[in-house]
Amino acid sequence: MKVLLDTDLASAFAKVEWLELSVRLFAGVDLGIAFEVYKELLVPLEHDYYFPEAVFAVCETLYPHPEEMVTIQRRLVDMKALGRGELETITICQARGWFYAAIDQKAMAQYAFRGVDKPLSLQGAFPCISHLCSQGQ
Amino acid sequence: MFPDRLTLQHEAFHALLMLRPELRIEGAIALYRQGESSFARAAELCGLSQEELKHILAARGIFREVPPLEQEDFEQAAEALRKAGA
Repeated sequence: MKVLLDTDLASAFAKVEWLELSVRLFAGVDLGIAFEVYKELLVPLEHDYYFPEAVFAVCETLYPHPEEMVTIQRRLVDMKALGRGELETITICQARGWFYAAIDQKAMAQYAFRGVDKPLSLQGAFPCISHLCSQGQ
Repeated sequence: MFPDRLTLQHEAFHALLMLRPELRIEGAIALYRQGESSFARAAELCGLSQEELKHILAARGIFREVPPLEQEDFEQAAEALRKAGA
């Protein structure tokens, strides 16, 4: 199972050193970030914040496919309330059936996942995975 | 020149924001606080990184709130994860 993190959530988890722990705890859960999120995380790295290195160490960077890029371009015009990284992450998740994990309520409100009207939230994603792991699933 | 009044207003507004970047920040923060834009989009509108905007919000005493997880939301997310084979 793949979970894509947006910039905000990836940053938050990295700062509290949760990312590496999550990977260890939840075998079978692959964490990823969209390329636009990767670029956003390069900015704090340039300003001597080192938490992005923790994100890059455990998250695979995913590049949008050509057809996804068309969708992203359209959404840049149609969904002006969201950032580029969020739009790219949401588009990749929807196209490939992956989970989208975020903090931002606005971003999550505009996302629908396979009949579930809410994506994984900061509070929801990892407690849920933990709960399922504890049940041996 | 300008084809109509609306285009003129649009261009004038853009010029104002370009000349007065502090207004961009005020506008973006207002949009974010009113729930009209995500935090990431607000940072883009300011022309700042997300970390820089976090510092500005913190300096102003504006804290980001994450609402508590409802039981229904938890169960919904757990079911989605279960279906996905987590």
